[in-house]
Amino acid sequence: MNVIQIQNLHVNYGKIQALDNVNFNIKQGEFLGIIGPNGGGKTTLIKTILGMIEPSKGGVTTHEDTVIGYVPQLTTFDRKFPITVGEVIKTGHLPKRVMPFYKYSKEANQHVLAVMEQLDIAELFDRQIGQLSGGQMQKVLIARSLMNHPNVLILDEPTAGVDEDSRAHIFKMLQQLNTSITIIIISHNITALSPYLDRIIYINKQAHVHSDNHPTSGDVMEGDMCPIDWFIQGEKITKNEAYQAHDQKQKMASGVRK
Amino acid sequence: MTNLLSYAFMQNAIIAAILTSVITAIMGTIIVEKNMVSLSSGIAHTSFGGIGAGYFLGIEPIIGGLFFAVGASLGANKIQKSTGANTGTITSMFWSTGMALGILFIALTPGYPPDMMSYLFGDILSVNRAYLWIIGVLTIIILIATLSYFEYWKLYLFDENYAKVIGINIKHFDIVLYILIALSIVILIKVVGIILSLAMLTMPPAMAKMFTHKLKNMMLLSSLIGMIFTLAGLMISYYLNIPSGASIILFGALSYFLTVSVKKASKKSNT
Repeated sequence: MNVIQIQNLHVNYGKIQALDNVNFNIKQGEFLGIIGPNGGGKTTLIKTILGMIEPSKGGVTTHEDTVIGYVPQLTTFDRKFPITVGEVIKTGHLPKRVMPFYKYSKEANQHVLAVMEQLDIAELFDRQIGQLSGGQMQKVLIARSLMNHPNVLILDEPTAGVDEDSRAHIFKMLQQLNTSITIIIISHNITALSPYLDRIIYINKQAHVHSDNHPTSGDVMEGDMCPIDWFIQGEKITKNEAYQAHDQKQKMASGVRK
Repeated sequence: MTNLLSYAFMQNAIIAAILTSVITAIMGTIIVEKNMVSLSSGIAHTSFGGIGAGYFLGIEPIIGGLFFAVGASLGANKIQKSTGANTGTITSMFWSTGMALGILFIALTPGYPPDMMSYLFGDILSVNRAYLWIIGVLTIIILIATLSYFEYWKLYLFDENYAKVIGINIKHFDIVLYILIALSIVILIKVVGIILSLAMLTMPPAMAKMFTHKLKNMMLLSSLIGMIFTLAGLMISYYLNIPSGASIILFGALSYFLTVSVKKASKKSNT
């Protein structure tokens, strides 16, 4: 079953074309990686799936049972904001219809504690978010996204600002969640991510890569890259060429920043 | 002291000090946490144009200020969202245009030019009963608007995008917030003036944040700190016969820097 279908998707920001004819489906239970260079349209794609951006043409169709959870980038937060971990996670329970004097139910509070236990962050409940490491904060945001019982979880750069140990821990945790939830990750870090993924989508404005083969778990070997077809500007290339091109772009981008 | 409290102007000033402390605590916390300090400053200065227009048209100047402040507030939001223009640019534009209009209207007003100093620097001792009612009603509006939707405000301030993702219509929060900021600033003009209003909106929350990491506690503590600033400033102003707006802000600034120094010193001694 497809939980999300993306058909003939075009997104323009004024005269700038951010996405041009993107087509792919996301299957239930999939662990999907979306990669690509900065400005390549990854975040635009995710925002369109989340309904934050209106497509110029084509669109995104979600299955009627699809409930999406979203984990934004760590770097977008003011870590000095006066809020505790427990309070952050609870906001995931807020009903979208604004209700005056809303109080979290007993069940909601219990759900918060249960998810915190599950993600091994129960002891952080009263901690101010500025006192957390990158890895802990990432888990807090994942916990918040689980409050509305999603069957699809979208994570935007979950490895940014997170140390290597925490990164591996988060990926393993996501792998466990993937037994019941479809996971979609945007990431620059394909090397660290690829052992966990079923499929990778490469987004670079007009170059869209997808594999229609949904591999069974046996196809993805521990430490191996997942099967994928790569295209850049409509031309098929090898996996190594694609990785080299991607890494080269990242190096150039970080060089420019320095 | 008992003798002092028997004066009606002093009773009004004390009530005004307490009510404005509640306003500045709530709105100041929101302004600081939403990074809207410079925008609020722009709105405050734009209201000067409305005050000038009030004199020119022969209506209560503060009503003119209110219209300009609300217009600037909603206008800045609209321009920012529709053009994506830099907030600083919009703020500067409104700020200088408002001040220019104020000077122009005063120059065009027939007769002797009015004393604009009290609008720039405030005069809490001139607050009358009618004005107290206005402050009281605004305080109640702010309390209802923020406390009844407190959990939503918390998410809106912390992570507006997530609120959008889970389907909360944040446009309403944007509009209510901009109107409340404009109203609060106009009320503060009479007490501490246009130029000093920003200090009252930022100093108490900044000081409160040193002692708590919860939004609600920050608002409560900020309210208490604001009351200490305004009441102490008021007394200093009375006994030393100096302008009240200046003494409130200077007392606040001194307290803030002392607290920062003590906090730093205690942190050093602990390490």
